[in-house]
Amino acid sequence: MMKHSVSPIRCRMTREGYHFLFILSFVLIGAVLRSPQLLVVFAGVLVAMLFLQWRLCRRTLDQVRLTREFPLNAQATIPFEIQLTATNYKRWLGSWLLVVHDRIRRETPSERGNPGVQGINMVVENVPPNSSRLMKYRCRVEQRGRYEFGPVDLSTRFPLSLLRSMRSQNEVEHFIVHPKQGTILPRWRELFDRERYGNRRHHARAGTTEGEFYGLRSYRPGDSPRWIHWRTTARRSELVVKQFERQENLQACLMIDLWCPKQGEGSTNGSAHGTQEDAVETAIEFVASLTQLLVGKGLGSLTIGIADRNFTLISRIQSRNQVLALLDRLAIAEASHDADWRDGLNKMKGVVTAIPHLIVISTRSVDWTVDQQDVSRSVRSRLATWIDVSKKELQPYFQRGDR
Amino acid sequence: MQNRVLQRLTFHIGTLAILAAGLISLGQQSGRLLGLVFASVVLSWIFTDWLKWFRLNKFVAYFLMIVGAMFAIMDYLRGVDSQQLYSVANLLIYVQLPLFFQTKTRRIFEQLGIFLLLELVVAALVNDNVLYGLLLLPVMAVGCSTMVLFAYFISSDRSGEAIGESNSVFARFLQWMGSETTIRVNVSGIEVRLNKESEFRPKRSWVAWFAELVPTNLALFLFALGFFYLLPRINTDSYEGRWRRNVVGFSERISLAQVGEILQSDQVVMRLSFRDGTSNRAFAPLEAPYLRGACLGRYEPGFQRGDWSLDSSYSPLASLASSEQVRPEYRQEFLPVIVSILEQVQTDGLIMGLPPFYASNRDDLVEVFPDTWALREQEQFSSRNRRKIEFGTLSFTAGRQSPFTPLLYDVYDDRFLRSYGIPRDGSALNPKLNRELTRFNPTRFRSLLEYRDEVLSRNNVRNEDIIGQTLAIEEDLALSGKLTYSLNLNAHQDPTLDPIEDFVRNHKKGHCQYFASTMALMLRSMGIPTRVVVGYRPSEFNNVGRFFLVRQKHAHTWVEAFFTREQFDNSTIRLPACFVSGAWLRLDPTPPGNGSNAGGTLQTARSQTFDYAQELWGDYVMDMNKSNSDAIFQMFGDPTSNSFASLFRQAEIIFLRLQQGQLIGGFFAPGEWLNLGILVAVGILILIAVAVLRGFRWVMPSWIAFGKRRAARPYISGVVSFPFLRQMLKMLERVGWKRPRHQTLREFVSDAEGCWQANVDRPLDPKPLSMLTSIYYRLRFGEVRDLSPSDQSQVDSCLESLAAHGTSALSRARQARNKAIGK
Repeated sequence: MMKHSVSPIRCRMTREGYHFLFILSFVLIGAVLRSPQLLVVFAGVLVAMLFLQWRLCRRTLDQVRLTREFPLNAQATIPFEIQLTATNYKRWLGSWLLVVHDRIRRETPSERGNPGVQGINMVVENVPPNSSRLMKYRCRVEQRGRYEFGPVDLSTRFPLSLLRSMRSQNEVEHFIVHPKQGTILPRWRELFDRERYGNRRHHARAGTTEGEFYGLRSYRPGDSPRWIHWRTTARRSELVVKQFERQENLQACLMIDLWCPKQGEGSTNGSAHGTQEDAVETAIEFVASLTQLLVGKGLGSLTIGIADRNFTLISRIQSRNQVLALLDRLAIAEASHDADWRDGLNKMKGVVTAIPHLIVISTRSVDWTVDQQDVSRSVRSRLATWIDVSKKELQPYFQRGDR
Repeated sequence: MQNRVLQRLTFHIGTLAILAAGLISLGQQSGRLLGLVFASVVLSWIFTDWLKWFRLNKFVAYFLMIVGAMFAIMDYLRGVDSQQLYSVANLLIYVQLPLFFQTKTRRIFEQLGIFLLLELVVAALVNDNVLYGLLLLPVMAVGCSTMVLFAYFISSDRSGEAIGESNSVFARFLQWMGSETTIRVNVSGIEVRLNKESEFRPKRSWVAWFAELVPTNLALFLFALGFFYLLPRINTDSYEGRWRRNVVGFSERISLAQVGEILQSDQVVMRLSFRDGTSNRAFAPLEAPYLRGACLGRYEPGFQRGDWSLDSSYSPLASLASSEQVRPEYRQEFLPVIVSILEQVQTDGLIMGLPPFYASNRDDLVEVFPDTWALREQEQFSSRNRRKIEFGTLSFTAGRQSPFTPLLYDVYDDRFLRSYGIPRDGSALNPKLNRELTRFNPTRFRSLLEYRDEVLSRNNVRNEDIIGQTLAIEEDLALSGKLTYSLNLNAHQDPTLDPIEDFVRNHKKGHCQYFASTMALMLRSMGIPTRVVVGYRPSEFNNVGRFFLVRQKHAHTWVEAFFTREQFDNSTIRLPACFVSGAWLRLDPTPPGNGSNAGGTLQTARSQTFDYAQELWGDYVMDMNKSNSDAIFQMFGDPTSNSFASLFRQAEIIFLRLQQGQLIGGFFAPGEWLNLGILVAVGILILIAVAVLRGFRWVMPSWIAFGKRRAARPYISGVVSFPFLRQMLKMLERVGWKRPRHQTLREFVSDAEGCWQANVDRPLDPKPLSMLTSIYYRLRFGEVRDLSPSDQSQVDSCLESLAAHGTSALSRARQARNKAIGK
């Protein structure tokens, strides 16, 4: 829920305003003490200017609201567009020369310090009464994660630049930037060769995702326009799409183990630390890319356990919404020194019973023969592969996107 | 875009500089500074801003500014510009010029702005011209336009600016204080860039631009007007204006040379206007009026002098008589005219007048000499530089000024005369005065007597017609051409002769006082009581403002000779019956033409409108001292009190009239229930309540929502007008599912159901949200008009199912999803 919190309008003198006031004070003193009448006339004009500035610049910001709109999703390193709408709710008076200052900040754990805020200024010439104006800016972030937008400041110097009135809309909005996508290399199927079962028949398929025709249903966001059944759509006056029986070729189960050494422990070498971070990002990007590949192309379903500070299990990811939920979770996943892979595997016991093999993508290497004792037998029997990303074991299957 | 605003701003500030220099030049009455600024601005536009051939380096510009300042100081020290303010104006302009030839940045515009503002202040100090007021309007318009453009320039400078700023407490404090400069830090990993279509591009045309400036300037003008007239004044000094440094008026001793000097001066002495005493409308006489000043009876000869001086034996009357104290027959004979004079206070306190006088409504403190009709101010007002005096006169009949000046006895009633102890004896003229006004030494004026005899013999007027003889002399002097009018008095003068004798005998050229003295002496030689009157005969009539502008060059001298009733009866001149004892006959022997004021033709000034505007400017702007400021409020109340007190008093009177039903009568009459005290108390209470409420709302904004309701209202694009849908959305909202603006209803429902399916074990079948949405869409887009019974039952069952377990499931689903994504 966005909280509507608007600070009161504040007026501050600009630099030019101080110059103006300085001269005005002399003129006024001269006008009152000596009464040269033209000086009084001139003082009247100057005071009128100041008064007009004060009233107009306050009223300009009054009843002006800003709303921000985000894209449905965004990936790190790929620019996305933020849309700000300034709406003037006043009945008669327009709002001129609005300077809108928006702020973006990456939400990071407190121990990583205060990285500062990136701001951008936009100027709107005029928002007529009872109407709105649109501003757009493009944002490109290097890192996945949760970003905070706002508070946004509105200010104006209109009309005479003697005063600057300003007001802040204090509400902040959060937006999650998904991990960037890499390239899943052709050898990725080797990972899941053992998991494929039955139904190896070759189908003559019309498209990449269709199966056998099953029925009709209402259109949902994300459905391909190719699935629209136009005749029924015309009859029912709403979009109707065809449903197909899905050919589930693959049922994969992965656990991503995001471990990093405790700060100050292990290798203190900067490059090693960088390598570890690199491994974490590689693992996350691989899972994100693989999910997009499998679900996006309808190649199968995926059950993923994410073992970081808090273990999360997302089972049978098949729909676009589930993919988005997984990407949201991956976006905020953080490597932790107390990531417990055994606990994670045990928590996955319930869902792996129907899945023959489990793959662990980890940022550490484990002596499996020693450590497997604590793992449930049912899981142990299905654990097929342990891929240590830090040792580049993922290189044959995945190539990271452009850094 | 920035370039376009910059070009406009440069053009505006150049224009403003030219106008400011124009205002200063107007005060200096020299176009030197204007030319200098104009040339600099045009050259800088062409070569620095447009062709970009050269621009001054910052340090070179500073050097040139110092050189300019030194020039201005040296000018002052050498005495080129004697007045300090002109030197300050020079200094400002010289220092400002190098700035035009620099690359225009914010700093340059700020510096130019300060200099221009100071120049306008100086212009206000060195000007008193109405042109300043007229030019102030375009200056205000261009100034406002410049400042608006400057605001555009500064704002556009920041458009698209991406700043990495500190998030520290200090940075936030600076931001709260309104500082535009932020503490910058390098924020890595986030790049922002403004979309091209959102870049700042002002699109308004010149026409639209000026259309917006008109109301702004109108508001400024009205505010400045109110400020000017409501500002309390503490200074009682009058504005001298174009009458400054004048030595005007006449003393009680006037030499021939002195009048000659006065006649060559163009200085303004007074503004004279008439209005009809009965209708109160402006009155314009058909010929130039004779304004009497000093009335001189004693002649003292001397080398190149010929002094005339006053010899009065009466003490003045302390006040003017009222119109009721004027004899009725006199009132019937003449038109009552109110004379209004605005003049600089003269050295000896003499006031120009047109006798006989009576008091007008104004209570001016003047005294009148009964024998000469001379007006003089009393001591009380001598502290002012300018004065406005009004009095009534009974000297006009049929649009012309009467040639007769009455004796006091014939004008006022006995009671008034007795109150001043003036006896009404049988003789027409006081014997002592008669003796003084007929004093003549024939041994000194042989040629003058010869001239007189020659005129009388030539005209062959009978001896008993003394007035006929007088008129013959007047006509001969004025029209014969033997003596000519001239202000060039460089001819050799004989020191052994009286100047008038010398005038008649030798050089035969002179101004009005020579002619008047000649005639006066001739009449005295004939035993006629004669006196010389000095005053003005203005002929410059302003048709727009209906006033005479009296200048020094309008000074005039003429003769008054006294004749008894019998003498008039024996002549061809008809003396009205109201002149019982006789009258003073005005005689003007000065030849008309050659620049003399004897011709009575009214002349129309060439720039009447401008003169009138200048007069208004002087009256209502330049002369707005404490007394005039108070006078403005006199129309609202008692003139004897100060302005604000009278304003309150008048408000009180209006309220009383309102209370008595004089303003609003009938059913709406306030009557007795309206009490001023209660009204004031209620007003104060309301003000206090509003102040407290506003203060409270400022301190605790969340406690008092009213007044902010509208401001806090979120934008809702449409109104949900279907009750079942409203109910569904409300149920969802209660469990945290609120439709965002970017989602359609179907997308929103699909999202909610997807979340349900993904996170809650309980199957979603049937899907109540989808079903309700489908029904809504069918209704909304006209597929069906009303809900069919089956639809209605479906709606009911869906809402029931939603209420029973749907909302709780959706709530769980939302929580689960939030947990999954870490919210």
